[in-house]
Amino acid sequence: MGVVESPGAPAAQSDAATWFGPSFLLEESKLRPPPARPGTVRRKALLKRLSAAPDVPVISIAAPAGYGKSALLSQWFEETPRRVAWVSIEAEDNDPAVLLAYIAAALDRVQPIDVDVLRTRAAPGTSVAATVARRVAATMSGMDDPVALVLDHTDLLHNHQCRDAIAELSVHLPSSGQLVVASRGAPPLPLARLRAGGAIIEIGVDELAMGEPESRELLTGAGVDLADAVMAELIGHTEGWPVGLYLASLALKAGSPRSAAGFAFSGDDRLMADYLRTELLSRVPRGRVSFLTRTSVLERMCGPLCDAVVNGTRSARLLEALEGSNLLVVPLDRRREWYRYHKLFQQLLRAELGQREGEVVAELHARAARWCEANGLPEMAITHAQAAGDADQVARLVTACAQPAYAGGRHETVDRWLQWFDHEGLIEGYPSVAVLGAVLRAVMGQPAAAERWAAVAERAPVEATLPDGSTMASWQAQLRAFLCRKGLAQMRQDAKIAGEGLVPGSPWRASALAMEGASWLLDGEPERADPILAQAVEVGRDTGAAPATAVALAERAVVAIGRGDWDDAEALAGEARAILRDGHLDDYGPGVIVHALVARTAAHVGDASRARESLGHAARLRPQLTYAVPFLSVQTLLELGRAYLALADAPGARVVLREASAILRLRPDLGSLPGDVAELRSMLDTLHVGSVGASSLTAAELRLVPLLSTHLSFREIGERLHVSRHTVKTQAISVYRKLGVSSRSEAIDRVVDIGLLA
Amino acid sequence: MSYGCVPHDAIHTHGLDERAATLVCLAALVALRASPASYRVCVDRALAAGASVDDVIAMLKVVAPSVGLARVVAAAPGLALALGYDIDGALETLDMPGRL
Amino acid sequence: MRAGLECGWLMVRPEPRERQAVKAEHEDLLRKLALNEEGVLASLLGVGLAAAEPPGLDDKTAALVRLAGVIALESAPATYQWGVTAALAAGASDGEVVAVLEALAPIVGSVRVSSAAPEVALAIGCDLDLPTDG
Repeated sequence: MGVVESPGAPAAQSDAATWFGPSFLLEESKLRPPPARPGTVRRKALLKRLSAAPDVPVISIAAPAGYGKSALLSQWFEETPRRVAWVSIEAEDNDPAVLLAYIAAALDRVQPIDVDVLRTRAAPGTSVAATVARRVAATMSGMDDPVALVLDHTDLLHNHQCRDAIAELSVHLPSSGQLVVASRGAPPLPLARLRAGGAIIEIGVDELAMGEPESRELLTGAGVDLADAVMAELIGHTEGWPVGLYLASLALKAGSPRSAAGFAFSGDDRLMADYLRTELLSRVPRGRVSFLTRTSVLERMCGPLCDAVVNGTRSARLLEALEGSNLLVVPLDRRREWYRYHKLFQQLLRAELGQREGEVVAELHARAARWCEANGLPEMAITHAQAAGDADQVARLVTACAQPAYAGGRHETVDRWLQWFDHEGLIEGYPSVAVLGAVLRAVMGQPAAAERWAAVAERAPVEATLPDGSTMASWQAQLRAFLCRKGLAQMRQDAKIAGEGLVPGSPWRASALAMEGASWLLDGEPERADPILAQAVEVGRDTGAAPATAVALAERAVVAIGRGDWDDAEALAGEARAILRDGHLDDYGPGVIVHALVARTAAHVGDASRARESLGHAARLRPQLTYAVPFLSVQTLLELGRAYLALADAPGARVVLREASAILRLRPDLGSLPGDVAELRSMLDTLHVGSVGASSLTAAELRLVPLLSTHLSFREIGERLHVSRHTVKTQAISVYRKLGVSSRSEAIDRVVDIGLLA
Repeated sequence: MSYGCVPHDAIHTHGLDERAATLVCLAALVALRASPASYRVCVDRALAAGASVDDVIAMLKVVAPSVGLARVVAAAPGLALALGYDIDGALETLDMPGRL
Repeated sequence: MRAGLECGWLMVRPEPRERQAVKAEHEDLLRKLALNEEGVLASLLGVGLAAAEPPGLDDKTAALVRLAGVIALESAPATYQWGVTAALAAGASDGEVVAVLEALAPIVGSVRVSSAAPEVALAIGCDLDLPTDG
């Protein structure tokens, strides 16, 4: 079996396709509606409605499966003179970074834009809804012609961040910009609010159900010729449910002798399934039925993949024939290589498969997983391997995919992959996943999960090898160094072991060296630290480990300040900042130390506004500084404190020092850091207390700020943050007071002004 | 059930006109950290007696230095609600963002 | 209402009536007061809340003294927040803030202190956020 060209690998790739590195494939087919098919009914009245309302910001098309939502939007896409950006949502879009990439690519299709403006890389747990909405709205308003953004299948989005982002976008659209959302159930929109403002048109079952003329047209178009009375009865029974009519037409063409009375279903899945079995599948050759049901485990199908799943040889031709003969097999691209089933049909086939031969489902997924892995589609393989319950394969794939996905910024995706092991209770058996997962969780700012996984990773046999060739011992050491539970000297030891044991090309080597260097610095030996840090920078550049390189440069800047060489420090900090910017790591937690150093060097030369800007940037990221990587978090907070001191902002300095102390309570043995923090605190006592302002926002309040900037109610915010409404209200009041405002709208304006919102 | 602490007829106002008497009572509520229900009744009575909203606000300003910060801040939400202004709601709602 | 019952005045339930519109400036004032906003409070009270020059006490002690007043007086949550935040900003530690509560107990009584404690804890706890996994 050769490698098949992956679905939708187009000749010219948009920039957004490169955001996540080579391991991610931007599916071009998602950026267009499925090609139009002959014989589909043109929904003239609805199309007219869609076109006649360019001033209504939001259009919601919500109806159960089979009502022709996608078909309607496809027709609109083809015929409207309006510029339309299209995204067909799929499961992978449950990661804000990915969703945003597709939206960016879709807008880019309409008119070339600077997609990088839309790039965001927030840690799991931080709300990006407000940021995403503002950036997308700004991009849309900057385009030459007004554009409509269509999001199809939004019912597949269950990630809170993504749903919040869409809801937020719906209330922030630029004038004559439009958002069109199609979903099966309730759309991710603030309906009450939009209705109250007259800002939404809702198209539901009543509008989508076909009337008599359209039903006739559908049946005639499907090649069915019925007596008027029979047709009327059929239409009455199906209540205008388009897919119901269509299935009935298939059955009639296949020679069903039943009268129209048999078509007594409309939206009832169970009846539908019975009908499918008795009327349609019973007339189809058994081999073909088997093909249909067995391939229903696939979200996307191509000939070779189907061959692998059904153990056949002629799937490609079969798919083509199926696609040509009915509408339930949908081609995904113009080359007719990849297809999927109409979702309702797929659902029914799956149910049928479960009934007929439920015991083979896992095996089918296993076959699909093996084929995907062998054909360069590891992430698709992960989904199938999980469904097959083949933990070995999942572990192998996740170990290979997690690091690149994380490096590319798809944190939610990585988090989901790792969580699967948690849910299945499987970490114990997979030490390589445990150690990789623990390291990633530590740097993603999830200390409790990192600790739990670290406990498993510690128990792994040290002789084992990881897929990249490094020894388990070196990875365990790397993990121990990050977590730094036994003090600085031990961290230095561990960092050295890691540095020696990791394979030369590993992007984690630079981190190991940076930690080794930092440990000398924090032990009061900067002259031993600097050469190691310089080496970390070099290795980081060679291996493309941008975050570690930036952090190592920032540490070198600290060393430079220590010997009074502020010019050198400024240059180093500037270099680090440039790396963050070029690598789109601006919202990356561990990089906060860079912002702290930029602030310090700026303050030193009297550039207060640049210092404040960097401190504002750092404030956004402070909630990500946890005890998971304690030495870096405390050191960063200390440097931030020094920057605030340089600006004579005692309250701001005190807040960051309190956060540092909180971490020191858990990890007291951090070399010179506890003493430095205490010393800085006593220096603050000589400063007269200024007024308590924005710089006094605590990490908890900073976590609230992005959510305050959305339309969510306090209760809904409480749900996102797992606190009570009362707590949210109390924290909000504190935020307002510190910002010097007295209302939520004022707070948002102020937050944007001082750079606290990305 | 909340009761008004205001006089029923002129005899009980002890020489003050009813408007002044009700404003005096409101000041007492501020000083005594009364419940929102008490404010409601008292404000209704004051407005019925011819006091304006301006008068009620002025009362607050007059009494503030005497009762201090803590009392004034504690009184604000209840007093506002009695006047028909929901501070809690106001702190939570966003103005409907218009088109950019 | 206690005072009313003591005065023996006639109990009345007034009829609901048409409310006058509350002007925007009044709304602003009331809202800011509810937030314990220093600007309007200072103009209302006619004095600076934190004196411009150190009043003979160092900043931290002055802030702790103000906090004691807040605790002793059955204040609103917004006032507690203001008092605790100001104390922390002036350099008080969590321990020192709690010490104020303890020092006040014999004077204001245990009942007062126990109802103040949760408010103080909330004001400190809001500031002290040990990050948890979302």
